[in-house]
Amino acid sequence: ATGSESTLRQRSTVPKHTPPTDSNTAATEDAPKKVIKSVFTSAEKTNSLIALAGLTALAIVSRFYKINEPDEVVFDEVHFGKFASYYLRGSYFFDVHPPLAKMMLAAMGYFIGYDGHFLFDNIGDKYNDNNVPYIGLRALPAFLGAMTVPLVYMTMREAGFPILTCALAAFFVIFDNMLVTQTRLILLDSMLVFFMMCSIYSYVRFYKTRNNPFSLKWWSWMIATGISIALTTSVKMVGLFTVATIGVAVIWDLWELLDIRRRLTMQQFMNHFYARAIGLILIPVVVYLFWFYVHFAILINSGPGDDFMSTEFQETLKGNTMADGIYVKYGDNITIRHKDTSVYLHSHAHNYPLRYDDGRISSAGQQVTGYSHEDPNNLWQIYSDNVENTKIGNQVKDKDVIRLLHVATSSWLLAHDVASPTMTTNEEITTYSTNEDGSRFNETTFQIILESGGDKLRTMASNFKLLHQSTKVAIWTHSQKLPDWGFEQQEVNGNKNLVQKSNLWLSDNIEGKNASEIDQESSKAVKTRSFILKFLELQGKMISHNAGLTDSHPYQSSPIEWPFLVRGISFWTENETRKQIYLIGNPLGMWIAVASLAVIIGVSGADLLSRRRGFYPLNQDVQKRFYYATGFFFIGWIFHYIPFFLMGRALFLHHYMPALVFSYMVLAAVHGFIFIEGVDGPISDPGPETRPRQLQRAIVPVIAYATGIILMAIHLGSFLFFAPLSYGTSAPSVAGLARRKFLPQWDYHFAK
Amino acid sequence: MTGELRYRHTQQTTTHVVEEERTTTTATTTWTTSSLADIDYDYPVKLHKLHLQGHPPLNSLNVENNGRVVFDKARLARIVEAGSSTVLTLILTGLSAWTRYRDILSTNNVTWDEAHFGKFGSFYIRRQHYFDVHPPLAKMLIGLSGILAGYDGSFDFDSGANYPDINYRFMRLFNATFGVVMVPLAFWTARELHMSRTASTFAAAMVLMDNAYLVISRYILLDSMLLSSIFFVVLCLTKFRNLRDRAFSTKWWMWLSLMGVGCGAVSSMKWVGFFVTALVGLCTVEDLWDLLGDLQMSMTTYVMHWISRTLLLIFLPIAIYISCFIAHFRILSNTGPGDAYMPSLFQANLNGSEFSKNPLEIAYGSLVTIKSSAHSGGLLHSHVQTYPQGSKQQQVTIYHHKDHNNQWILTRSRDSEVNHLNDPPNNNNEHLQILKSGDVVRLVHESTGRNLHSHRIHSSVTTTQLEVSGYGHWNQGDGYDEWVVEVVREDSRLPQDGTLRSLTTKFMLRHRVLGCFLTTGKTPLPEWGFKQGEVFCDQSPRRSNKASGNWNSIWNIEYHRNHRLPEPESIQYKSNFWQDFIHVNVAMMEFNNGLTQDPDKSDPLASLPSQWPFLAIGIRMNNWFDSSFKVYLLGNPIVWWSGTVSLGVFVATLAWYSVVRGRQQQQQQQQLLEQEKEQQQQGQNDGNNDMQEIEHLQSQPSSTIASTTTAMSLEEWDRFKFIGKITLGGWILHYLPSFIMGRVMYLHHYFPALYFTILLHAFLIDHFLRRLTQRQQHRLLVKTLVWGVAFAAVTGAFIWFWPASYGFRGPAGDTMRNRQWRAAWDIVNPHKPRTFM
Repeated sequence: ATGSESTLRQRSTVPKHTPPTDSNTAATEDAPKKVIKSVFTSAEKTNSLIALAGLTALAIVSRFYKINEPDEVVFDEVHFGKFASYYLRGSYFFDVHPPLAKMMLAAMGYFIGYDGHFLFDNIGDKYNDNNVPYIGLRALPAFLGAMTVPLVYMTMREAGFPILTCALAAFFVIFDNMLVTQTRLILLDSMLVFFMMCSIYSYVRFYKTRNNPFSLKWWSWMIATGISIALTTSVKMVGLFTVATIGVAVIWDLWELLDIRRRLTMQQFMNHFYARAIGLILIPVVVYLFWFYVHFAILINSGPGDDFMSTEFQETLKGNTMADGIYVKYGDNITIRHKDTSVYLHSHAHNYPLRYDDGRISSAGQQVTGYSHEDPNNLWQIYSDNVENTKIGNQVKDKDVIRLLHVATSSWLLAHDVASPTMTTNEEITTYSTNEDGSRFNETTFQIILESGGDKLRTMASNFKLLHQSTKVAIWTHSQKLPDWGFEQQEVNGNKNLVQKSNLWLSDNIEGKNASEIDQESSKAVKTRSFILKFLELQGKMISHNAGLTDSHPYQSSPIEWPFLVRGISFWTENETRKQIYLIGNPLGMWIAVASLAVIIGVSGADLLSRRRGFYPLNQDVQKRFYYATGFFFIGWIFHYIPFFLMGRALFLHHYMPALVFSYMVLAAVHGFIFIEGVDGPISDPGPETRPRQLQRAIVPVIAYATGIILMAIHLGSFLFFAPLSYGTSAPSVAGLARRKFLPQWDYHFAK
Repeated sequence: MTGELRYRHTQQTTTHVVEEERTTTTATTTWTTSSLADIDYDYPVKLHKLHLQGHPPLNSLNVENNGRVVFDKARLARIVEAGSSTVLTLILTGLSAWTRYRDILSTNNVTWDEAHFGKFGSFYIRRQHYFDVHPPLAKMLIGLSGILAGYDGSFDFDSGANYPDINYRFMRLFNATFGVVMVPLAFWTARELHMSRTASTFAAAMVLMDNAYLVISRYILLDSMLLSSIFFVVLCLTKFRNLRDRAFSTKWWMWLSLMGVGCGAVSSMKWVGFFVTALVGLCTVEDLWDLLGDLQMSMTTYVMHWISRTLLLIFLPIAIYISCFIAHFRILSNTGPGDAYMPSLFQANLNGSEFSKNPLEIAYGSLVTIKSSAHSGGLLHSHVQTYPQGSKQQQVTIYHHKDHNNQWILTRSRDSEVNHLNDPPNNNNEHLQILKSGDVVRLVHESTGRNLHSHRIHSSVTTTQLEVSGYGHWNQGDGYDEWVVEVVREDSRLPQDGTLRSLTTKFMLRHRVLGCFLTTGKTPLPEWGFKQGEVFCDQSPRRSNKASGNWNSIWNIEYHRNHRLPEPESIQYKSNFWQDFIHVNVAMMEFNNGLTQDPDKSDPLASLPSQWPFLAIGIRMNNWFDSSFKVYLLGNPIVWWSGTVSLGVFVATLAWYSVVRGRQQQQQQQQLLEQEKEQQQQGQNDGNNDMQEIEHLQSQPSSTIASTTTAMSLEEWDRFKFIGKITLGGWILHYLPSFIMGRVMYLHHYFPALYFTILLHAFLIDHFLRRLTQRQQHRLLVKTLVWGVAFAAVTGAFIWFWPASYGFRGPAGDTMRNRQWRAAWDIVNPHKPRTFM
């Protein structure tokens, strides 16, 4: 509650602490309501423009310097280059990230005449040998990466900081090794950071128009904010952190508006609320969905992503195999294939060894395994559990109880309460010859449960589980290979966990169906499905797969290491020339940034404590700028960093990039807070009800310039020192690498 | 908060603005100076203290009208009130005792986790050292109950086994007594939270009639002790809060100390206790922050507030926690199953330790086990199973249990330059050579004959390091089988001459060719490695590791046998309590984190935290055969569901009140603006005064206009927020961390959080009834109806699930079909659908 009181207090009391410094616009108590358009003189505006132009030029140079090197696939270009190719081919693929950035890359490829023939299979594949216009593809991220710099500058400027502070922030963003490396390659993060800064910039502009609510400018900047956050989220789900940052600011703003002293009626307040709901919720949702619409509209052919989706979804793709599905009837000989590992349910005339290596005993029955090749031993004939009513010729339906006869050895598939060869917790699956008596009939019945593809068993289309009736296990296989006695085929066993996704099987073929029969039965037409269903399915799959990326990666790191730059990522190496690209931030710059974050916490803590004790150490306007501008960037850092601690998936240093940009903005602001006296103000647009406001100017002393230049020099020096590793254009010597190894965890290649 | 507090103190100093309102404000300020009990009818008063209150209870509105009459009526009401509270407490406790104690021997076999905790109790009686993930206090109490019952600790508490002829009845009654106490604790806590008598009874009744609390209290488990301690800490917290205006009084000190004792005790039972301790901590920080804003308070007083809390809420609990471990180590003086978790020196001090027969110095040919010095480090182990990837050679791991596969034979190098002898081990003719720092050894695994080996192949989990495997045979292998002993430190008083001695010498093993060090990893191996610890060869360069050291690559010899070396004279090894204490705590933590669920296997008892608030899951406490006696652990659905719903209702209400209080009525706004204008015209004060007055004005409307409109009084609003902080805060602290924890979770992990929803639920009914009936005619009727329905629903559900809680025989379907309210319960059908909530 303290924060709100301080701002409200300001509205009702005339600031007394800063005497006007600019004599020609001095507003006295008696002065009429003179409205100030801008605090900045035209000379200042020109200087600002010059600084902006210079910094932008530097940014472009830094991103485009030798962009043609290396002419090989680098790190995650493997994925994102490939996805661009798939867009150009129109073949369906699956990725955990939303589509926008990849579509932008594809569009870029389309404009420069790339046809998507190359699949970016391995790191180190040559672009020139494969005739890929990679420079054009890299130019897009590099350009957007460069354009982030002017956005940072303008955001800081709009937030009311002096030219020096803004330039400092922009300078740090230009010469950060991580931002340079990551944005000049075919990766998504450049787009992410660019749109994120667009959002922040638009929001600052929007907030400054708050005295003229519902004006054209107000609407425009709000909608711009909404579209920007939607674009950010359409690049990566990390964009939700940007949404949260803006969201918190908006909720705070609404809470302030609700205060009675704002003199808004409830009706007016609700208008504010609805306007924001439209601009910052409705429009972004539509924009986000739009990209998915385009995504589905482009990817109309069957492709590598088919298997991730449901059969209903796959049936909407051209050339999908689902359409060939035919209904299975009792008495048919079918092959049964495991969905996850693509092996056939197989059996052969060999038995389990009576005693395993670890001393356990088996039933010594006939082996049932998973076999990855086509083979007559993969054939199973499907029977009803009812001996009297065999149902031969009837279609197999969901929840039917069936028996499976292994055709080659003429024996029934059976599960029983004996431990499987490799897992003591699971049941052994074996077979039971038809020659023996029928006493084990009950152990050979399985219920077929269809998970997708309608309520009748159909080849290709239906995924099903086989539930053993008497012991309640599901037939399951996993990539564990059996030892020599099992011919290194996959183990098949009975799984007690019935809900596991990997229990799913499908029937991919009916033996002996002739072509005319298939033609007659199958429906070839590509089906349609409503967009919203397709979207929901894809979105769900994206989230679950993203959370499922838990496999460890040699270069993954934990969030706590990022601000301190404990570890980098090896992006690319070339053995002959000993060149390498190693993703690492600008160490000195990042460490200074971390220190400035600590300053923020210290200063705000001290300010809170002293205000609690009745002292008011900060000038009101300085304090307000400190909390509302610097604090906002700090919140941005928090929101783009802390949530990673809760994520279970494998994380990498480059996930810190959005937060890094915020930390550099905070760094510059903290520098200003320490060395610059007062603030420039007011900076917001005046409105019809604005009271007369006093003009005040920040005093930028020489020491501020001196320290600013020193900081920039340190940052630039550090950047140039690590540049060979960031650009990969020259190979440092072994001694040179050792010198660059500030921390022992920085595991460069060719260091010996 | 800020405004309200400051308001109290500015009241006396500001004169010119509040002059007109003096008459009304004096009455409202009274509560800050006199006891709360004087004006609050809901505040519990003890019967025998009534006569001590010389002055009549003040009521802000009625005093001036007809003081005398009100006084008599009020006094009578208070006597009735105080008497009925005592009677209610007695009735509730009686019912509680009856429900908890009745038919306690219905299951005559070891039920559910009795298999663990009964066993741990036995270990205390047998004084055998064991290891467990929970701190010792509660288990020591179980041990105590066993001693009181005359039990000699001979029973192993095998899961499901029938009890032999021991007095387990007493042990269960002992545990159930903690469950009995929960009910009156809940009643008093509700009273301290200023709930009405009926509401407090309702809160206590929900605790009384929650089937889950009932079932969990009736067996030899830790949970009843844990829950009652948590209840006690919450009671202390509320009591202490109500004494905030009587700082440093005897009572204040007493409840503060009790709170410290409670925090210490609850944390020494299970680490869950840290959550309620955190709640106490947060409340204390907020309290101190409020006091900091009190500019009238002298610095000395303020510092005293800090010192008292630091002593009693930080140092006292820590002292209790540590004393529990001192007692734990003192009691468990014999060797037992948990030895391997502890440092070798600690084990050597246990009675019956086989290490006392260790020959002191190590020689070639010695049979040894090698212990990692890392916290929670185990023994170097190998077994016939091979790595599934990498070299596919025999696995080398860290194992926490004593086992034949931990034994290694220290053998000479094959390299004749280093060593002129190349004989098979245990050769009696071999020249006996004591090992010193710098000697080259081969470690031969005794049962498989493989050599400890490392090579340039990535380790399987820590892929940046090299794999360590078992390779070759006694007389077959290569130079990669050899390791250099580097002595780091000698822990005994014997000379630091680099001699390798058992137990007391810390050393590292450097690979002779690769120069890397044998090191234990932090993450356990996957299923193929049986979740044992990883061992790799650490090749990162070391900076002066001998001094500070990475404990993960430092080892010591634990068990040592060499028939050619003399038996030692008895040596008294010194073991440092603090090292053992830290060690056991780190081991507990790592073991706790290691209790993860294997994704390939399903534990039918485990659940997801999201399934708890709406009671999507219960637990079968016994075998579910038709003939067996079956108890199903399930909460009272009415209590659980309504408790969870009340969380949402409370948040919505809080938001609504905040908005309403932010936006006053039109007239108030008018009034405020006029005052503000006036204020600005006067504007002669300096900055600070200015602020205070504005703040004063801000808080003005809520207190002065409160009486004219239906808005809550400041005091009521304050109380509303406090209850929110305690209950919502407590719920969040006890519930949300379970989403982050990686370990496998069970339904009973939600029980502490449930208590906070119960309190909140009772409070909300009370609150809404009070506000609804403020101006109504049929006040009594409405109240009776609402409370009647609430009590009836809870009681009905309790009785309906009575057979599930007290147990039943026969096929589950016959008895329980109608009680299967949610499909996800496995009360009848063993295959439950997995639900998200």
